[in-house]
Amino acid sequence: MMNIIFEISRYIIFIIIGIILIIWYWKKKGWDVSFKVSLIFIFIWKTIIFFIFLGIDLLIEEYWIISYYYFYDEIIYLLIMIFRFFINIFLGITFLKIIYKQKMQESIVIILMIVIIEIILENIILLVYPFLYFLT
Amino acid sequence: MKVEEKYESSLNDSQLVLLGFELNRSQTTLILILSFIGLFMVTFELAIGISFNLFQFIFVVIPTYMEYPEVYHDLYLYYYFAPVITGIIKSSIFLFLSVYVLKKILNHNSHNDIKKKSKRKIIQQDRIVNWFGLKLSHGQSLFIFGLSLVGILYSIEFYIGSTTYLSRILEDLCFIPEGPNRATTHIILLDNVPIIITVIFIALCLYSIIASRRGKPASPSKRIVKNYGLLIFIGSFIILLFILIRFFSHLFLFTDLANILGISQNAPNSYQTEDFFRVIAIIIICLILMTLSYFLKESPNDDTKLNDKITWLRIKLTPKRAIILLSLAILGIIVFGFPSLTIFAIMGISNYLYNFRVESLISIIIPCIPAIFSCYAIVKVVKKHRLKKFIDAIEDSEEITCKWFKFNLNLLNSVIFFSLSIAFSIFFIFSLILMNVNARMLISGISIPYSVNIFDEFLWIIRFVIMMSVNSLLLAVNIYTIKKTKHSIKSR
Repeated sequence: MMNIIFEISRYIIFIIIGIILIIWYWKKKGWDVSFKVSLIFIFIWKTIIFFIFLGIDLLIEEYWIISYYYFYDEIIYLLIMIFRFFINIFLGITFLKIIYKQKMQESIVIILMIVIIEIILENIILLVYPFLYFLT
Repeated sequence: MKVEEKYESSLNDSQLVLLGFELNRSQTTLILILSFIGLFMVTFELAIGISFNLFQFIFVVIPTYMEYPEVYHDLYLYYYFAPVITGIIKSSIFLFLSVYVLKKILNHNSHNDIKKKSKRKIIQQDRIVNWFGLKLSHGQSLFIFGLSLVGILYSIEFYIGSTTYLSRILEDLCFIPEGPNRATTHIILLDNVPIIITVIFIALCLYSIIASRRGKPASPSKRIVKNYGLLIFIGSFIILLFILIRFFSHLFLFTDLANILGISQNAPNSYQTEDFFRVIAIIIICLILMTLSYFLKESPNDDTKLNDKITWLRIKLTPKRAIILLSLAILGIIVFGFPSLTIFAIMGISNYLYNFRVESLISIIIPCIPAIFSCYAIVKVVKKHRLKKFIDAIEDSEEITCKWFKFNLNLLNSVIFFSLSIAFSIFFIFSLILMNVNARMLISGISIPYSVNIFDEFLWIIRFVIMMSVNSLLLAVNIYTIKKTKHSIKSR
């Protein structure tokens, strides 16, 4: 289930996208925040998330038993993805509050925005994957 | 005198004319909620219809058929294509209506409306409609009008897409038991029942559309049917129509009436007789309920004061909370109501046909719980003219407007849009995660393995791109709406 090349490429892309988004958002709000702080925030957040997700994927790979019914597999996998979504948001908000000392509402807006764009990007990456499979 | 004043005030409240009907603010609010829900849900449904069903037909069914046309039935393409295109046309009509109504309400300008009043015929609010002998208020007739429009579209879709669960129910109703594990029917019944029931439903809907547009001026002495009385009548009437299928199946299979259809008459036995008595009992119950609804009457001017202690699940309902609850409850009844009705119909029929079991009753009730909660919330907000009071309280409190695309939203509309956008955003984020799950499972080989045909994979990618684009677009619109309308919640 885990694909290490996919996970690393996703990690790098998300760091770049995250920095662009967060700097754009701060500029839009008219706040003066340095590039270095934004980079530290995104780097810490995404690295921790990367290792958590990697751990979850390794656990799944180790203990996953493909059930007879496709439906149950999908449900379990969906629950894991929802768990990943919430842990991503929770950690993002926590680090943002610690580093930027921002209000909860401001943190939720920017973190939700980043996470939703990440999901869309991830879907695009996943979309290209089967196509590459055939080309190779 | 008091009554006349009330009528006058209700006329002054009238703000909008839609499809000839004059609407007051409560009705406008309810229709606005429905059109906003329709805008997003139907767009999503249309995208699914096109990217899955239509593309499947164009890129898979037609090429397969063209390869060996001789092995397929003559009308194979028609049977596949007809339900697909009917579904797409139905969704397109609903989408058009949603957009039309939304634009009409948001663009509404009272001065323009007054000018138009003189030019065209308007169905006034102070009238009483006669529908199957029931006396309906203007609002109730509007409900019947909307229900009939939806009923016509669904009846046509049901008849053309004859493989739906409803067809299965109709087939089950035509099978009459002859023994513990044996039932009988005739192909003439199975072939003709769907078209007869469709024609009856369309005829009833057409009658309802015409009847709901007619009416006599209201007078203080005339009393209208209660809302739940109307719902009991409609529910009993639909069950009666379906159970009549079984009644006539009994008559045509086990009596001399079989000669009319030119089929051989079956000999009745105890199983058939027992079932026939059950059918008669259900018919009598339905008729009693329908008759009862004629006596559930109220004066059109029954009114109550807005009670400060209105609560829902121990939550105090302020005007804004009430509007948020109403919007979410209507969304809930649309999302959960249809599956609940499906389960209720299928399990209800199976319980009737194959003996009653307690576990079956539990499996009927559990999926209906969200729909029941939604119904309870709607009733809590709407009953006894509370909605009008809530709307008045919101509109009188302060005037905050915001711009949403090219429309100006008042505080009431902003609250509605905000609450529905939050719900839709959660749904579309969930949908994106679901797509992610499917794509990951496909890559990891848990789901269907890679096809050997690159064309199938290409079709999968096209579907994925369309669904993700539509999903992202709708999510973006909802986030934009939340951003624009969030001040409505913050205000007093």
